[in-house]
Amino acid sequence: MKNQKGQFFSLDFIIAMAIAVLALGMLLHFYELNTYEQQNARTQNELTLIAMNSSNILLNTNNCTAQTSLKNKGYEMHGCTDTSSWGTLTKADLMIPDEFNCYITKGGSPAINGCVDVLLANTPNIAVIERNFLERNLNILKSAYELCLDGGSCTLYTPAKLMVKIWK
Amino acid sequence: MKGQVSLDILLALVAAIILFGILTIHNENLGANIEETNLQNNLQTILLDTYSAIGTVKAYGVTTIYTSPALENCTVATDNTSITVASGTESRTYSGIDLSGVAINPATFNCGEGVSISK
Repeated sequence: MKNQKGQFFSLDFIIAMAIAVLALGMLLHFYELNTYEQQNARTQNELTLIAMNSSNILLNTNNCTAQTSLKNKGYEMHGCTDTSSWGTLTKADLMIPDEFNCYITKGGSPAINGCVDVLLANTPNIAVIERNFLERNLNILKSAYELCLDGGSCTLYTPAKLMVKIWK
Repeated sequence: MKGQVSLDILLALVAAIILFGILTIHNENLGANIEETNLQNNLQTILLDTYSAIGTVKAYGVTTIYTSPALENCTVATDNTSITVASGTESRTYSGIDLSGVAINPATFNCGEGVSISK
């Protein structure tokens, strides 16, 4: 009995330490995940704002033009876009900063020469905005406009779809 | 006959001291990072807000008196191709954008100060 040894430490300590380390690890992981999600949300908001802004500029800088007879009556062609000059626009014209990439289509085909970047499959954040608008690349005649108002056959505008993709 | 002597309490104390030391160092680093990240986030928010205000003027042709979010020791500088928000050594910039048709008066202003933006 004299040579029999007692225990110096128990397994309780090892288990307690393991649980403590695990709990601390989970806490740090939670913080890290939270920070990542916040950063992700900020990036997505930034991309969405830039996409929305560029589409606003695109749809509003060249409104459809009315012939003098219609202008004199006080009509403004809001909500109608003349797309004939879109091809020559650049990223700078649409206020898309250098560090961002863009791909803009009208009816599925590239619409802006300056926005034909290739989207890689593993791009983490992309903002995509689709907007329906009315297109007319010729002057609008008063007679044709009034025909539409009267409920006759209206061929003034062509409905079109704009899609703006922005990513970093 | 002697009873058992356990080192649990001593080991636990040593582990607690080590853990406390690591956490203190981590917290100091974290504190510095949080301060820097907060400043960067604030600058980014002001940049986006200013960019959005200028974009609205450019798109719709309206004239507006714009006031950016306030931040101490912070300035917004604009020219024909860029917007820069800076505070101390930190800054955020959007470059390569065409602002030539937009008049911002004054072109450089403090965060929180009202400016006129027109097309």
